[in-house]
Amino acid sequence: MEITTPEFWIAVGQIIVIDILLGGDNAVVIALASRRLPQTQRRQAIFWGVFGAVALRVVMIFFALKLLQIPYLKLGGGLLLLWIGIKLLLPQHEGEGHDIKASTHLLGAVRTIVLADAVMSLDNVIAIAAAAKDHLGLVIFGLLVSVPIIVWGSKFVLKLMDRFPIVIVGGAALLGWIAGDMIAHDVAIHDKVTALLPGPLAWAAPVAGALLVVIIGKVLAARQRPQVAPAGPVDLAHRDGE
Amino acid sequence: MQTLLIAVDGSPFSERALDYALGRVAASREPLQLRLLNVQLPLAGVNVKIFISAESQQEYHREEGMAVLARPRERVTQAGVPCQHHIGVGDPGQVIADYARTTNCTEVIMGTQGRGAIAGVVMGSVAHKVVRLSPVPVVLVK
Repeated sequence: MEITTPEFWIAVGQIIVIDILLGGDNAVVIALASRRLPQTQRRQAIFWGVFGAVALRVVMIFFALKLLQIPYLKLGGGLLLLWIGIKLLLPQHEGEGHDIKASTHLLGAVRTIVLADAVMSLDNVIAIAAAAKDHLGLVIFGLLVSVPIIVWGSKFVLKLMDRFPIVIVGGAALLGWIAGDMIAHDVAIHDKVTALLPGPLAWAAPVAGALLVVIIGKVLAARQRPQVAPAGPVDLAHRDGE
Repeated sequence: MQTLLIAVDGSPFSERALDYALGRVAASREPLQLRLLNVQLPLAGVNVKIFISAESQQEYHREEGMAVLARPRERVTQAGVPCQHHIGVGDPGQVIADYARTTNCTEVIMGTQGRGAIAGVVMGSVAHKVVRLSPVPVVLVK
């Protein structure tokens, strides 16, 4: 990929969107996990949490670039991205999920944050690697862009997603797109894919990935929505009969 | 009785909106009721969805909202004005207008812009939306 080609700049755009989608709310997760700590410890936990999120990405990406050459690992990475894309489109269920507990002591909070950091970095790193298509310059660019987004991005990202819901649908489609592309490029199946989809049909895999994510996401979301839609505005100030 | 809905977000603009509302109460012959409303942005990110349960998110919104409401509530209490407080989650313009409608407020009072607005704009996007959607008169305080 040369810097003058449109493919290069498309990859640049994809990487920025991925970093916003997958890195933008890391700081919120970290803040939530440390909110029960005393003020000074809380600041420490947030600092080290953000530091860890950045450091883990740097370490992981170099492993990822090597590991993704191993058969079936791109397939696995692609499936993970498909799942993340679908998850992005789903509303949240009451009582669902692997809840992060806000620990009251520093060690507990740090443990939760490191764990969350690891998972949050993993999907971001895989997505960057997939979009960069092994172009080292783009990989490093992806890392550099993710840092300010992780550190300062959360408020901006939340506003962006809230004001333009299309960002979420577009982001999910993009994740599906690069997931499909990544799966098709897995060492183990790449030859079969090129035999099945020669030259001009190569775009079918990313298109299929994008459609898969948006359709499954929309169908599941439509099935879930009636249960979560509140009647009228919810008033959190008086939940406990305060 | 007239009920004034005051949107607060902790910005200097919303402080001035509160100044104005308290001035109105002081100048009014009949008693006025105040409602303070803070709106929290939803946590839309995919990592938040994966890691944080809906209950924890609500608790977080509640804590953040109560923190923003603390100072305005104190000021209103000091002024000796009866007042209720509320926390909503969602698109601020939409939520403020919905509250005005469902809680039968007679007027909405808010700053022309709040936190995060581009400095120097005449009217922020939230104010714009409230003016468009609110069923009752809206006072924008500069």
